[in-house]
Amino acid sequence: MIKAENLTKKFNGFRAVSSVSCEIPKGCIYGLIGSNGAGKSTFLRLITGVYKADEGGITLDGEPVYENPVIKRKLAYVPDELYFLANSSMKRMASLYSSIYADFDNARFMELTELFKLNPKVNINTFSKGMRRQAATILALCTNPEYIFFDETFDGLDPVVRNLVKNLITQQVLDRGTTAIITSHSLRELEDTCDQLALLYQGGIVFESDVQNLKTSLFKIQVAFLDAYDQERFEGLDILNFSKKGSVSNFIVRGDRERTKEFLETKSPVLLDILPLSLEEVFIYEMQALGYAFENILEEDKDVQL
Amino acid sequence: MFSFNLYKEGLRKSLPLSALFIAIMMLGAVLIPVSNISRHAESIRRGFSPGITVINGFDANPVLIISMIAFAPILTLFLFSFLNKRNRSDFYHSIPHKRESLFASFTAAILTWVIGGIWLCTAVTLIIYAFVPYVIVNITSVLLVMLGLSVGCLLVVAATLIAMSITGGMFSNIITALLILFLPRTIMMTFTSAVIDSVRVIAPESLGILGFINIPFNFMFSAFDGGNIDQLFIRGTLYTVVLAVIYLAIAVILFKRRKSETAGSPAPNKIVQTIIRVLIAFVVCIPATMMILLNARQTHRTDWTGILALYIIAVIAYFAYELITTRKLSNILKALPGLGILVLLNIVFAAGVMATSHVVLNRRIDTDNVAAVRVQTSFSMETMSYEEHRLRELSLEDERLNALLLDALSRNIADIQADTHWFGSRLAVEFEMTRGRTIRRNIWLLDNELQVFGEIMSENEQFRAVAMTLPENPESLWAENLSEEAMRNIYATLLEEVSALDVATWNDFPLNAIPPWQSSSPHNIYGHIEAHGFIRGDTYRSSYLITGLTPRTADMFIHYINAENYENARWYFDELQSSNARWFGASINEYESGGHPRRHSVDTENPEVTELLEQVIAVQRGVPVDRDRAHFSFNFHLETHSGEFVQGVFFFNSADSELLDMLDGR
Repeated sequence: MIKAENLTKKFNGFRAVSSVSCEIPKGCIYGLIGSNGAGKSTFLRLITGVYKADEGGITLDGEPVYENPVIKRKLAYVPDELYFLANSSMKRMASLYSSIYADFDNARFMELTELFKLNPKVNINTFSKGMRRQAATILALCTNPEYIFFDETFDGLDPVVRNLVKNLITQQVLDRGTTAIITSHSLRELEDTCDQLALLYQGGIVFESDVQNLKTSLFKIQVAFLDAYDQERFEGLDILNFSKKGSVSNFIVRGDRERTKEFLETKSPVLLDILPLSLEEVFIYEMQALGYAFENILEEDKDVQL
Repeated sequence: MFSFNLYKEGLRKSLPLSALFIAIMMLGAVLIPVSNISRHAESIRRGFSPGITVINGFDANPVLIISMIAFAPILTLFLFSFLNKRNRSDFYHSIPHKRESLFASFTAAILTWVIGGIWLCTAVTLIIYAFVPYVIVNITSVLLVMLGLSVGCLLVVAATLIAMSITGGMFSNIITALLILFLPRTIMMTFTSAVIDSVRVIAPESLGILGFINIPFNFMFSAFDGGNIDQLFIRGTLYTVVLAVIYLAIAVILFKRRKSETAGSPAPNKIVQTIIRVLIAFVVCIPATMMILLNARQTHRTDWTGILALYIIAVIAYFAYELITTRKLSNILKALPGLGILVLLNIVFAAGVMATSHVVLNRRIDTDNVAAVRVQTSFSMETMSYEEHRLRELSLEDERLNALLLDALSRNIADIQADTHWFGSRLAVEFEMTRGRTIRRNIWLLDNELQVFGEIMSENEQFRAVAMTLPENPESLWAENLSEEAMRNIYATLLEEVSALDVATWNDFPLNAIPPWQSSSPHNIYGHIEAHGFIRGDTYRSSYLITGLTPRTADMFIHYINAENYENARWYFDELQSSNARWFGASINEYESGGHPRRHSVDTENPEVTELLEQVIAVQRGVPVDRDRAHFSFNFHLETHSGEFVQGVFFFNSADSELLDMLDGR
C-alpha cells in the first residue's frame, strides 16, 4: 500500500505538492489528473524517491522510499521526460536495466518488443515520440515491479497502441498484483483504466474517489409537476445542482438511484427521467459542490474541457 | 556502498571516451621510446657512441600529463553529466541504489580508466626501454612520478565531483571545479607574496600550507615559473592524496544531499550562486588589490589604469557568469547587492596582508630564547642536492651563529622599516625556540657576515660530516658525453678522493659548496657529474665539478671522454667534409690557471682548421693528456640534413703554433 501523509514539496518557496494525504491500496490502478503544474509529476517523483519531501512523508508497504533501495527495487517509473543512454538501442537499455534491476525479465523484454513491433537493435534516436514511450513502458514492465508509475504515459501514442498499453497495465495488475499510478491531464484517458481517480489542483488533491462509485453515485433527474413548486419539494435529496424552467426541473442527485426514484414517484410527477452521467460530468458537479470550477482546474488543456 | 553492476555500467558507458584518451597516451608510451631507440640505432649504425640517456620521471612519457589536465576531468564531467539534465538525474535518482553507491561505483569506474591508463602506458614504456641499451631508466623516479600523477588525477576527479554536486550545468560545473582546484591556493599564494613583498624576511613556509605541494595547482603554475615538474609530483604525493581523500569525502556528502531538481540550474540556491559569482570576480580583483597594497608600501610604481581595468573586468566577469548561467537579464539587478560582498572580501584581504606584515615586523626574536637553528640554502621547487637535504635536517646549536643571524635579521627589519634597499646572500633560517616553537625567516647576509657564517659552520662537526659525505649509491649518474660504465668509475674515484680532503678545501667550489659561500677555484674545471637519487622520500640531484682538486678523477674523466668521443669527432669531420651538416658548431676550451676554461670559437668550415684539428686529435688518440702541459678540449655538435645528431668533447695537449694562432683573442 502507498500512503502519503501531509506530503509537501516546495521549490523556491512555491508549493508544488501541498499537504497531500492519500492511501492507495495494493493491486489498484490509481489515476491522477490535473492540469500542467498541478503537481502530478512532482507527486510521482516523491513516490519514486527522486525527491525528498520537505514536509510529511510517503511510504510503500510501510517503508519510506527515499534512499531506500529495498523499496525502490519494487518500483518502476516511466517519467514524462524519458531517458535513454545516448545513441543506445533498446537492447543496450535492457542491459542497463539488467545491471540495475536484479529481476529484469529478458524473455518478457523480447516478447514485448515483438508485440510492439519494435526492433531492439535499432538506435532509439530513430524512434518516434510514441515508439520511445512504448520502449520506456516495455523496459519498466520487464523489471517486474510491485509498483509502477506512469507520468503522461499515453501522450503521443496512437489509439491502437494506447489500448495495447492500457491492456498491458491492466494485465500486469491482474496477473502480478502490481499497483499502478497513472497521471494524465485527460480524464478520458483514465476513466476506462483506473479503479480510483484523484484530481490534483495547485499541489493538493481536491477530490478522490472510486471510479465505479463515482459513476453510480451521481445521476441526473428531469422531473415535471402540474402544480407550482420549488426546490423545497425535494427536501431530503442530496442535490448538487438545481435548475428549473417552467414546470420542468433538472438536477443532479447524489445517492441511491432506486430510493431516489421511489421518493420522487411519491410526489406524483407528470414527467420523471433518471439519466446516467459521464465521468466528466460527475467530476464537474462534484467539483462544483466543493466550490471549484472544473473548467478552471483543467483550463490549460482545452480539448479535454467539457 | 558499492555496486559492482553499476561499476561495470560506468566502465561500459565511459569506454569510448576512455579508449580515445588511453590511445593518445599509449601513442606517447610507444612512440617516445621508439624514437629514442631509432636515434640510438642510427648513431650505432654510423659507428659513434650515442651517449647515455637517463629517463627520469615524466621523460618516460610526457603525454601522460593529459590524464590529469584532460582525461580525468572530462571523464568525470561525462560520467556524472546525468546530474545536469532533469530526466537523466531523475532516472539515476530513482534506481534502487543508494546515492553513495552510485557515487562510489561511477567514481571507481573513472579512476579505473584514468589510473589504469596511466599505469598501463607506463608499463608499456618500461617494457620497451628494458630492451634498449644506452638508456638508463630511473625506475624509482618514474614510478614515484606516476604515483604522483595518479594522485593528482584523484584530486582533479574529487574537485570536479564537488563542483558537479553543487551545480547543475556544464559551464557552472567547469567554473566551480576550477575555483575549487585553484582558488584557495591562488588566494594563499597571492596573500603570501603580498606579505613577502612587503616584509622580505618572512619565509613563504611560515604562511599557511604553501609548503605542501598540491600537484594539480603546482603543476599548472610550474608552467609559468619553469619549476622541476618531476620534483613536484614526487614531493606532492602525500599532501595531494590527503587533500583528495578529504575532497572525495566532501563530494560524497554533497552528492548525497544534492536534490535531483538542481539538474539544469547553475546552483541549488541563491547563496551558492552568489558565492560562485563573487569568487570568480574576486580572482580578478586580487592582483588589483595587491597593486594598491604595494603602492601603499611604495615598493612599486602604481599603475592606476591597470588597477581600474582589473576591477572593471572583475565586475564584468561577475555579471557575465550570472547572465551565462541563468540567461535572465533581470538577474543582473538582483545580483547587484553581491558586489558589496566582493568589496568586503577585498578589504578583508588587504587588511589581512597589512596585519600579518605588521605582526612579522614587530616580532622580535631574543637570542636567549633560541635553542638551535636550521639553515636552508635552496628556495625554489628545484631539486635540492643530497648535502642540502642533510643540511636542512641539522639542528645547529651555536650561540655565535644565533647572534650572527639575529643581528642580520634585525638589520634586515630595520632596512624594511626605513624602506631602504639592501643586498646580500639569502638564507632560509628556522629558529627553534626554547619553548618548542619554530620561527622561519629569510635572512640576507652581507659578504663579511657570510664569511663569518662559513667559518662558524666549518668548525661544526655535524656540518663537516654533511659536507664531506657524497651519496654512496645514487639511483643514477649523469655526465655529458660519457657511458654509464665511465660515469660509475669516475664517480667511485671521486668518492675516494673527496674522502681524503678537508671540508674547507672541498667546500670551496661553487657547485659543491653548501651554503653558497663562493670563491674562484685555483683548479681547472673539466666538467661535472651529477648524482640523482632519493633521500627520505624526496629526490636529490647533486652536481660535482671534475677539477684538478681531485686529480685522479680528472685524469679518468679526460681518459674516458677521449676514449668514448673519438669516433664522434671523426664522424663530425666526415659529415663536414661531405657538406652534410644542417647546422653545427665547435669551440676550443683552453685550460689556463684554474677556474672555468677560456672558450675560443673555431671555424671548422675552413678546411685548414679542420685538417689541423683532425691531426691533433689523431695524435692524442690513445695517449694520456698531460694536465701539467698546455691542454685544450675540442667541443663539437652537428646535425645532418637527415636529422642525425652528434656531439662530443676531446681533450688534447698541443704546443702547435698554428693551432695557438688559430685561437681567437689570444
